[in-house]
Amino acid sequence: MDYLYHSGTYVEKTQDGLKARCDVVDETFRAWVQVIVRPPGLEIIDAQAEIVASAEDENLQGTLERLKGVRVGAGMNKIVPGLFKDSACPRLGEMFLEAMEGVILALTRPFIADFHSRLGRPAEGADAWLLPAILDDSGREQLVAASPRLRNSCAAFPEEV
Amino acid sequence: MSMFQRHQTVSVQRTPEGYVARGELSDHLYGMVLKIAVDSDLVVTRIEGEFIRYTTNRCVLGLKSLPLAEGLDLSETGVESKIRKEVGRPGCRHFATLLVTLSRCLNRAKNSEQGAQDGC
Repeated sequence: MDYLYHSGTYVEKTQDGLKARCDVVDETFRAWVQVIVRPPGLEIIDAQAEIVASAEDENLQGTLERLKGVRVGAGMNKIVPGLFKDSACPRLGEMFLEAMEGVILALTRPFIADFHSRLGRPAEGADAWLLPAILDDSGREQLVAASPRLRNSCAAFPEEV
Repeated sequence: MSMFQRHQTVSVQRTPEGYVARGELSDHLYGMVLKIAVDSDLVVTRIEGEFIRYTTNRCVLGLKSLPLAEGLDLSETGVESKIRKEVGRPGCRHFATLLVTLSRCLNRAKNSEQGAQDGC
């Protein structure tokens, strides 16, 4: 094998808010980033990062300070890469975005889990034993009614559900 | 207590034609595998995906959009937003996320092979 990569994103509750961390390791780079965001606005109140191994030696403090106040949500996909674009380590911007997307998914998870526990049905066909609770047409309709922004977001939620 | 975890693992291998890469994404909501072949310029020549876990009876339809990635030049500026818009939105956004990761890994594997100091 010529190149291996692994990333892990972890979100948990803390006293100060939600802590989201992203770890990445590949052939030439190993680093972690971490943000603490404060609900309900989900603005970043603390940002940390460490490049454990890299070809570069980067002073991160100024960039990390500029992350404070950025909100998890609309606009982050442009703001965060922009903050790191001219730094010596743009990869950290990718990692912070992973962590921030993890926050959104962490907050989405209980909402989806509630629908699955109430309305989930076994998948059709050969996957039934592996997928005991997915949403059928009726379940999808109810999910989109509760969260209209899902409509037209992917193949599972077309314009006409 | 963990509210959410996501793991992505990618392996890239050199081939006579270019590279092949295999990626897996697994989180509390979805699980999927993506296999991709590119030529030496990182243009996608073949792509296959498989859902391991999904949330609705229509998610598997998202696989139909993967061939839209064939012909994409993964070294091109702006390819990530093209993947999210042209492969993710009509198909599956999570497959698009994994394809973006594979794209980055293929670029880094190529740079690394060419001796570029691409750690960051």
